[in-house]
Amino acid sequence: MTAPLVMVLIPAVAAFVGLLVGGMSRAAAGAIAVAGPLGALVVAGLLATEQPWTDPIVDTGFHGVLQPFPAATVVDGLAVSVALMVSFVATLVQIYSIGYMKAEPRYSSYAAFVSLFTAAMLAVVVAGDLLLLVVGWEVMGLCSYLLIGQNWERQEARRAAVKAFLVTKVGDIGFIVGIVVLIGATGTTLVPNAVQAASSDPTVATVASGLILLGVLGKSAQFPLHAWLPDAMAGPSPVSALIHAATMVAAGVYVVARFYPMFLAAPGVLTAMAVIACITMLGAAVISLVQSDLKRVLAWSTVSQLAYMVAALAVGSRDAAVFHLLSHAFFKALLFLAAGAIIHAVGSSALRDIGGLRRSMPVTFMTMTIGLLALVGVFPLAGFFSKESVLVAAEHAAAGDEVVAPWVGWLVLVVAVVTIAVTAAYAVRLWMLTWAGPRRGNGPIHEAPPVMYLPLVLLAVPTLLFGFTALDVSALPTWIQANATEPLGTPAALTPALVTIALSVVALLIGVGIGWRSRLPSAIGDGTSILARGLGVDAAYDWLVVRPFLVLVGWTTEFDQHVIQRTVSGVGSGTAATGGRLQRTQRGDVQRYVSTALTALIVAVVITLVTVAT
Amino acid sequence: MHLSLPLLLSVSLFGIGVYGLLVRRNAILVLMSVELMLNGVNVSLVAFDVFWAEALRAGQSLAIFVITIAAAEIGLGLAILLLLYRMRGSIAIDEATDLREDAA
Repeated sequence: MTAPLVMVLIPAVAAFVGLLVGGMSRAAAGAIAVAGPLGALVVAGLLATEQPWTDPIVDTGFHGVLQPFPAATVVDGLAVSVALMVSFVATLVQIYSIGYMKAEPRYSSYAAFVSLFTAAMLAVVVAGDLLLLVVGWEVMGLCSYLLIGQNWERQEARRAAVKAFLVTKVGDIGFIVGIVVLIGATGTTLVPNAVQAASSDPTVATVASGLILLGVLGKSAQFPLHAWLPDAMAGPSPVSALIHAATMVAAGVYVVARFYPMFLAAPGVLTAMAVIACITMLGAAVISLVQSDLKRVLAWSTVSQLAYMVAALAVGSRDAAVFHLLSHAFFKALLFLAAGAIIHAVGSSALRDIGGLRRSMPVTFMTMTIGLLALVGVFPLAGFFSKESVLVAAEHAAAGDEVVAPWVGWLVLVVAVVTIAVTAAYAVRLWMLTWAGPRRGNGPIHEAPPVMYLPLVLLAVPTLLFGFTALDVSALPTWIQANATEPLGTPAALTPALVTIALSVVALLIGVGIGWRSRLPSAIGDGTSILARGLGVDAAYDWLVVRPFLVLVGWTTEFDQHVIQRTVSGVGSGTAATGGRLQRTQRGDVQRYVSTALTALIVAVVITLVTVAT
Repeated sequence: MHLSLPLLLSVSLFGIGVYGLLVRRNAILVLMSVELMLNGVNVSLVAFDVFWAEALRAGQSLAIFVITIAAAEIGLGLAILLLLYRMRGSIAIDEATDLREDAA
């Protein structure tokens, strides 16, 4: 058993132990719930101190009863940095949940699913074997379904859970086929070997990465498979924090980063990624601007920010994508947990019920402000540096320094800068509606308990400081690429460039101006405009998928009732009717039987004689 | 003696038996009719045995076999009729229809 496997197994075991004993004692359930991710965090920290890792690919040869279990793991800078982030955020989410889910009757199963979710994400992160990767990937889909449907008494939650499961499953079909193609074409299930072999063959690289991209679009909520993420808000706030920051959506981006050499060998797929990312980035940000629900604003913002990561991958900078993935995880988890604290205090997530909370919730106010500033990308917060690194990468691509065509770089650059303005607008609007102005609604408002605001403070620290890693030109890229199993040449600097800073500052100021105009509660829509409902993507799904499917279901039902059902019952009733008719001859009259037998005998004899005679 | 005479006797006995089997209500008479049919067959077996005169005398052997079976059969049949009479006080064959299948 090796350290990475231990890291995956600790939260998994905690999940099962929590399910077994959690029902007996709430305190024990809480302790086990925190112990799982915390144990993983400790192991990840120990792994981080061991850098450089002498043997990054470990085939543990964990032989099961029938087959060697695919437990090969990869430990390099990329895996360790993401694993650190995942277990850190998951630990804080579990601590926060102790307070947030105090009144929840199904707390023990909830905490167990969060732990299992973390374990599955860590399995994806350290997977050195394609099969282990798929296992973790699918377990995550299951956990997201269970956790979004935590409050299954509400129809909204049930619908959202099924939607999340089905939409990501659509992408997962492509993902599984892509993995099968990859294994089939390269003849190995070890991730580094398969990626290396595939990247030397453009056809295999294009087919495999194109199919895997489908799964990534589903998991990382990119157009057109993004529709599940805003509805996933039906789950409890800590679950949203987990899904939007550490697990699930991060998995898609991470898998592309893990398979990056293969994607670099397929410029067509990268171009498609860039176009999808641009549509998602700007569209989701604009939709976020008109949402009337606190969590929905943040959800659409996640979709938009994920598009930044996908765009960074598309323009050839894995390091920028991972940088933004990490910094986004910190500030988006912070924002969702802060939103949870507000909902906990106010009892509603509708923006019209929230307002003027500045004085009554000072800790949440401070930390959420930090989170929003990072989201907008204000110096010197983490979001500023990571977003700048994406812009720099796009600029490099526009200059023709990357595998994709220069126009792709230009497209990403322009859309990303415009999106900065929109991001600033919805962040300012959200801040004004939440904290400024007079208090709306009734009842006393109290600050969240320490068990809830402590995670907020702990997340504010990396949100404030993480960005400075970019000041040392090569610190983060070197770290990410340390012992990389798929070396990508010299790590590029992630330091902001002057021209992109100038562009984003201008965009930011314009955005603040737009946001300022919609600062009043009267500007909150009722959430029914086509923009607020996600530009009609759900309606398009309804027309293109749901309705034809229902018609098909109708036909199938008709066919079943009128053809199959009738055939089956016809065979039955036909047999019964024939039997009833034959029954009439059985009267118990022996002499009639004998005369029938004699008649038959005579007929048989006559027929025989006639046949013999002729 | 010409073969046709014993065969005529055989057919007459068999025909009388069939008639009795089909029309009589009294079960004793029905059993007697069955005996007539069997013995009609026996007559033809013996007649053919004499006519062919083969070494193994298969016709006579078969006739003795049929007589044995007939004896056993009449024993069983009379025992059944005795029980039937004790149960119902009647041995009319068209009344003994308790085992029929009633129409559904």
